[in-house]
Amino acid sequence: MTRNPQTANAVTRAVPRSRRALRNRIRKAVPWAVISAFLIFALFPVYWIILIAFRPRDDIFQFPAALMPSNLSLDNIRYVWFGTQTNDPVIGFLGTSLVISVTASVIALAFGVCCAYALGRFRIGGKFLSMWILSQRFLPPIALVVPLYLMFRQLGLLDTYTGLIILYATFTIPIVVWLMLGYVESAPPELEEAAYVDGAGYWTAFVRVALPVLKPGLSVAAVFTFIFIWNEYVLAYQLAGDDVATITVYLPRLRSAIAELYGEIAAASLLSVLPAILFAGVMQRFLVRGLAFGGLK
Amino acid sequence: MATLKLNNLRKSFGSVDIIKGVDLEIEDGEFIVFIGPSGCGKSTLLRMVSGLEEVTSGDIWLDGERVNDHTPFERGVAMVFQSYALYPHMTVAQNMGFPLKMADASADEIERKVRSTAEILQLGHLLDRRPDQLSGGQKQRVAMGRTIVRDPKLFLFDEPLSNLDADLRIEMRVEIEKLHKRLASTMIYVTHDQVEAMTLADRIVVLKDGLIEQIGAPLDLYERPANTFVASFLGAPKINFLDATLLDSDVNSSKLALSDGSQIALPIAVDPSSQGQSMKIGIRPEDLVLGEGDFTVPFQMELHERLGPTSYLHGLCAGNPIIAEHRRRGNVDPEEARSLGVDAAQVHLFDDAGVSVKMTLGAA
Ligand SMILES: Nc1ncnc2c1ncn2[C@@H]1O[C@H](COP(=O)(O)OP(=O)(O)OP(=O)(O)O)[C@@H](O)[C@H]1O
Ligand SMILES: [Mg+2]
Repeated sequence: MTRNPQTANAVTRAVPRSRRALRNRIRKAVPWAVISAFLIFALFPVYWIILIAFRPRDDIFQFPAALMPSNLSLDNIRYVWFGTQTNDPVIGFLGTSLVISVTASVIALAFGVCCAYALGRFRIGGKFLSMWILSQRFLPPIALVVPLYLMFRQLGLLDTYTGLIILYATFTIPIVVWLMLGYVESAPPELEEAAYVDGAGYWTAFVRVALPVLKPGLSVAAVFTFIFIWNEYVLAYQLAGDDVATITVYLPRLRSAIAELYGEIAAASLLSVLPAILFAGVMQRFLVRGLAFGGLK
Repeated sequence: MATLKLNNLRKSFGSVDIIKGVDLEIEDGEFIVFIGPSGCGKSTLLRMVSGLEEVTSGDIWLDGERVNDHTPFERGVAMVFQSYALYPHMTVAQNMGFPLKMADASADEIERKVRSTAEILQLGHLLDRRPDQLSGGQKQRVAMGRTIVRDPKLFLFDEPLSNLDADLRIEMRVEIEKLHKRLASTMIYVTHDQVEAMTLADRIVVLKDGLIEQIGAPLDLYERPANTFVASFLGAPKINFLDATLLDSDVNSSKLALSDGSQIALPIAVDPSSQGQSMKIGIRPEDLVLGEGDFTVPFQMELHERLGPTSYLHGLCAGNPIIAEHRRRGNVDPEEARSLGVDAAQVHLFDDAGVSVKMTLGAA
């Protein structure tokens, strides 16, 4: 729609000043209203979990449910943290998840950024290799559960750290490659060329010059992979066991125990999201810059 | 200290030929400027010399050694990129010290050389800054500094001043000139800017479509362009071309017909075998004067453009748009400016294909 600027001007001038101010205010208020509505919609379940986690057991099934808690208790948190007769302390599962998420993320990042660099800078594999790598993630993970289970059993990797770390690293490498490819392609190749001229070999130019430039992208990739692995359930449920169980495997176990321990589940859920939030918080500084700077097309 | 020889150098990207056979010999300590229109392959040629771009065929000889398969570092070249390509995560000192570090120099030596180079370039107070805290001119200096510290055989500059504003360009141009005097190294400098080319170069290499059009000292190229391309590439405003036909030529003069049928007699001798051929007469704006000369051409003035010290008279000469430089102040009456005088010694003749025609000044 093209508007004649002169008529547009005339119209605005015709509107009284107070009405224009009002309209301005409405124009500003609308986005706020939309965002607030969305936030309430998105955050209400979180609020509800917090509420359940800090309520005495009897209050949880109160009807009608109170939006504001009348009395608070730390019982649920205590049960989950120290464990009960039927349940192990949550800390062990958090620890397992942490070890697996961090190790697998580091491996995926290291491999992934090298692959992305080779694909982006040296055009290795032409147009199709990068697409092929991404295509590894088109398959729903569940489709791989049975073959993976059989392979892992044969290799003795079921219920082991090694098994889960290999699994998750393999699953997240394509994500890292795809994400980093954008960053590699948008970073100026002259930087490394300058390094070659200055006497650096390919590897030195990559480590000393390219990697530092790709750092914002790497932190974005780190957050994505860490959170993906931290939250992964389907594969962990099948391939983890009693020895090595991640937090996502632990949570539903609370439910299938003798009683439905909603309070404990809520408390454990809360504890389980904390590390991810902390990590994202630490990375945020890089994340904001990374998303703006990089090639998230 | 280096001599460079390019021997029938070619480069193709896929099926597209970009550099189509370049021969060039550069002497030790020479300042060579590559100039040419955008996309003609200047950067590609420079990158081939640097070793960043592989050679499709032909040879590169540096100091008598064939270096086609040497890495940039082995060739001992240093390069300033158009974008400067400073390492954004390193300080100025680290940027400048990087080549030394790569050469395994001791920390002391790096420190010392970086300091002394920084002094030359007036960067001493900026050594701890990062590139994003520098102005354009300062970044440019750091990029220069990074090349100087390691004492390369051959300096390569790819349009190093094109990102600077006009004042800074002039300033840095002078600095580069001083630097060349001081270091006496062989330098190749790519530019779009003919002023940079004219002022900096010992010899200019004019490129077009991956081929060398002409090589020569700046004034030689200006005064004796080999073809219409070179003639119009150097000089601002551009040289004027008049379409003409050679009617007759003897030892003392040539008679040419302009496109409107008017005839002019040039006190110039041309090979008579080209009689009847269509030609282009090239005359630079500063060689046209209001009034008399060795001969005159008709003029129809359309516009008087004043720049202060000089002004330009725009108009038509026998249907060809031309510009004449006018160095006197005051108004020019279009009615009086009916013809322009020409200095015969400054006239260029080009044949049908745009190649310069051999000619000698008439005896008369
Ligand atoms: N890696 C490449 N792959 C394919 N074509 C390329 C490549 N690099 C350059 N070219 C092509 O080669 C030609 C010459 O490029 P080059 O950069 O050398 O031009 P230039 O003379 O430096 O131009 P400018 O003055 O604009 O910098 C251009 O047509 C360009 O598209
Ligand atoms: Mg270029």
